[in-house]
Amino acid sequence: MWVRQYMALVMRLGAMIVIVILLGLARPEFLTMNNFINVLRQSSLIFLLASGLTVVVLSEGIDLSVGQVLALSACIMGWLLKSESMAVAILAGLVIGAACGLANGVLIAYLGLPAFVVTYGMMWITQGFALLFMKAEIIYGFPKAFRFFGATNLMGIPVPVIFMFILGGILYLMLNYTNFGRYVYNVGANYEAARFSGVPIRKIQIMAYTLCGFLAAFAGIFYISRINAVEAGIGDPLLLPCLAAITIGGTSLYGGEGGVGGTILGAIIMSLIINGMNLLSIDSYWHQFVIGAIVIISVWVDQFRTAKFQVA
Amino acid sequence: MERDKLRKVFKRIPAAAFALVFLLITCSFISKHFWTGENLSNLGLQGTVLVILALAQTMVILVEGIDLSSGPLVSFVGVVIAVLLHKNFSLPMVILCAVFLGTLCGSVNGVLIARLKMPPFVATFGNMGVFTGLALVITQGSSIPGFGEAFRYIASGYVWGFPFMVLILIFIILFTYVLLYHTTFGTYVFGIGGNQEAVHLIGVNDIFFKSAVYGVAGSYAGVAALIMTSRMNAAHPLVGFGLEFEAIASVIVGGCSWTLANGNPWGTLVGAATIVVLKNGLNVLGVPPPVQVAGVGAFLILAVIYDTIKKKY
Repeated sequence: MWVRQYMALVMRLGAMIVIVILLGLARPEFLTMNNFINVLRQSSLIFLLASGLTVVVLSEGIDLSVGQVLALSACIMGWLLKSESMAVAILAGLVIGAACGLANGVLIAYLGLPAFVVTYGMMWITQGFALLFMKAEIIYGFPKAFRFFGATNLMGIPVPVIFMFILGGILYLMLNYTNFGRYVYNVGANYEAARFSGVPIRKIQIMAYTLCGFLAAFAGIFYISRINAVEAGIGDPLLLPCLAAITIGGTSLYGGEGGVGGTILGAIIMSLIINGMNLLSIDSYWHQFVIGAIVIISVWVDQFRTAKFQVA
Repeated sequence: MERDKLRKVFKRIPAAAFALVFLLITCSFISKHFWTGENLSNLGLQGTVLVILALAQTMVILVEGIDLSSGPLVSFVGVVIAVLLHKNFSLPMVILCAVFLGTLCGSVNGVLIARLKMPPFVATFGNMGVFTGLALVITQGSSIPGFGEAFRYIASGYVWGFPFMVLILIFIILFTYVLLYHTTFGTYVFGIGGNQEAVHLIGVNDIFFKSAVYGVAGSYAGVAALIMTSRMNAAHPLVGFGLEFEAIASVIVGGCSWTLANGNPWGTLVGAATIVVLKNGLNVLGVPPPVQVAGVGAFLILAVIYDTIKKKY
C-alpha cells in the first residue's frame, strides 16, 4: 500500500517539474529567485490551513468550515491585538479555533452526524458569528512583533515558509510514527476493521477535528499578519484552494491514503499554476475556474490510478 | 398495536412540520405584521427560488448525491441570460437557452459523478469553482443590469392576482411530483438511491439515469436563474453564492435522511417553508442576513440530530 502512496507523490513531483520547465520556457521571469520565493510563500499560506484538513481527510472525514474558523479566530485575534498582549491574542485565537474543531468533532464522532452536513452547517454558523462580531468593520495595523509571522524573512526565506516545513515535518512524524497517526490512517482506510481492532475511533476523530480547527486558527495568524488587517470575510476564498491542495497532493477523500507531503506538493503546484496564470497575463477571473477544474482533474486521475470506484 | 401505528405515523412526519408550526406561531406573536398580505407576498418571493433549487437538490440527494454547484450555476446561467437579452434574443429563445444551459451544466456534474464515479461532493465542489469562474470571466466581476418589460414580467407580473412567479413555482412542484411518482424515470431515481447495483442488474442503464438526475437538477437551476435575474433586473456573477446551502438545508430539514435516501418532495417543501419562515422571523427581529444564514446552519444541525435520534428509535 505504501508503494501506491509513493507513486502518487512521484507523479505529483513529476507534474511539478514539468510545470516549472514549461513556465520557465514561456516566461523567463518565472525562473527568478524572487518569484520562487513568492510561490513558496503563497503555497505556505495555503498549506498551513490545509494541514489540519489533511489529517481530518485522512481519517475519512471532511471539514468544510476551516476557512470560516480561520476567519472567526483571526477576527478575535485581531481585535484582541489592539488591546491585549500578543500572547493573549494568539492564545485566544487558537482556543477559539480548537473549540470550533471540538464542536465539529463531538457532533460527528459522538452524535454520529454526517461530517459533511455538520461542517457545512458549521461553516455558515462560524461565518455568521464572524460577521456579527466584526459588524462589517476592518481591523488593521498590528504590532510589529506580530508582523514577524507573516511579513518578515529569516535569512531570505519568508517566515510562513519556514513554518510550513516545520509544521509539515511535525505532522509527518506524527502521522507516521505515533499511535495517533497510525490510528488516523486506520480509521480512514477501513472504519469497520479499525473498530474491530480496538482503535478508539471516536477519540481519534475528535482529536483530528480539534487539531484541524486549531491549525486553522494557527494559519490565521500568518494570514492576518501578512496583510496586516482582518475582516470577517477573509475566510471566504480559502476553502477551494485548500481542498485543491489536498486533492492535487494525492490524498484520497475516502481516507487512508496520502499525507502531508502530498499536501505540501499540492499547495506548491497550485501556487505555481496561479503564478503562471499571472505571468501569462491570464485574467484573474479565470482563477476560480482553473482551480475548480484542477480539483476535478486530480481526483479523476487518482481514480484512474487506484481504480477506486464508488460502490452503490 | 396501537402504539406501533402511532409510531409509524409519527415517523413519517418530518421534523420540519413541527418546527414550521412552532415558527409560524412564534412569528405571529413577534410581529403583528407577519400575516399581512405584504409579508406573505415577501415570503412567497423568497421561497420561490429556494423551493425550486430545493426540489432539484431533493432529486440529487435521492440518488445519494449532493449538488454544491447549483448556486453558482444560477449565477452563471443568469449572466448568460443577461448577455443574450442584451443581444436582443427573443424571450422564448432566452428561456430555452437558460433551461438548456442549466441542463447541460447539470449533466457535466452527472457524468463526472455517475460515469467517472467521482465523489459527488468533489465533482460539484469543483464545478462550483468552474461556474463561478465562468460567470466572473464573462462579466469581468461586474453586474449586467437593465432588461426589458417582457422579461421582467416573469418575476413581477401578476396573473389573476397571483404573482406569475408563484404560478411557475406551482407548475414546477407539480412537475416534480409527476416526474418522481408517475414516470419510469422517477421509479429509477428511487431505485438508484435505494440500491444502485440492483437497478443495474435489472438491466437498466443506471449510469445514464443517475447523470440524468443531475441534468434535470441543472434545468431547475436554469429556471431559478430566469426568475432570479428577472426579479433583480440584473445579473451578477456572485448572486447565486450560498443558494445551494439553503436548498440542501431544506431537503435535510424536510426529513430526507442523508444516508438512507428516503426523501420526498413534500418533506422538502415543508423544510423549505420552515427555512423561509425562520429567516423572515429572524429578519423581523433585526438579525443581520449573515447571522440569519448562521441560524439556518444551526437549525440544519439540529435537524440532523433529530434525524439521527429518530433513526435509532
